[in-house]
Amino acid sequence: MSPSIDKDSFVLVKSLKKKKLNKFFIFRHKIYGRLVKKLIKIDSSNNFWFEGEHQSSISKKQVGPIKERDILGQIIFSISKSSIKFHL
Amino acid sequence: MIYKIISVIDKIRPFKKVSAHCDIPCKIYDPITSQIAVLTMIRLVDLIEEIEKKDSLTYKDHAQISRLTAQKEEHGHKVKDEIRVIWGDYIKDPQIEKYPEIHELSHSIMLAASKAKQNIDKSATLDLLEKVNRFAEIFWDSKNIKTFKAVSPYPPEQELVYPDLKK
Repeated sequence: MSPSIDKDSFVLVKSLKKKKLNKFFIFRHKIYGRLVKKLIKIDSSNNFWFEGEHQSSISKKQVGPIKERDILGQIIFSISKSSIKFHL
Repeated sequence: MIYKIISVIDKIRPFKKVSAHCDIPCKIYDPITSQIAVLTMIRLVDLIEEIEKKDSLTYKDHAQISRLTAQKEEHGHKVKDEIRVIWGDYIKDPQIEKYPEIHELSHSIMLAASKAKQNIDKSATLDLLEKVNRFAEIFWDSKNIKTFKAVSPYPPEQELVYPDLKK
């Protein structure tokens, strides 16, 4: 999830009722398993759309719509070898 | 310091892992990117052919043809890159044994993509789509996921192989 979250980071995740756009979330995906991506859109059918930041990331279309029940939580902060970042 | 402490804890009692999926060996592959890239090539050929139907071309038309052709070239590269990654990283002995055509098919996609790049030829792009769709069928079958064919709900409205992910 670089550049915001470095590879091999540890992250603290909290389940928050309100899902804010442009925040990082962890969710379950049918094909890809447990993913971390940035929330970019909530559509009229209450589907949540995510995308990565890195140019090699799978696209929004590949991730597809995600239901709220599959969202495990928002990343509160991350700790990498070189930095500690808050993502609130 | 904090990272080291958490790393030690992680070794003793591992935390759950989560992936962001980039192009690293994290077992995340999907042929849809290559399929959409082929659709884009077909659409670009259609657009170029529309311009060519005009009686006389303006400098703007020439510029537009150049731009569309460059985009077609770029998406041809994308098809090749995406297929190569799946073929090179995901396809291993069990898949090769089950789908003996996979090497020849992958190679034929490379050739077909080159042909579709080099020419303004719709039949070449359709031939490429057929091959990439077959590749997608094999890919999803190797994951025991059924597929279905449907016409893309946008131009150029060609048939794509999609995974049926409903349980």
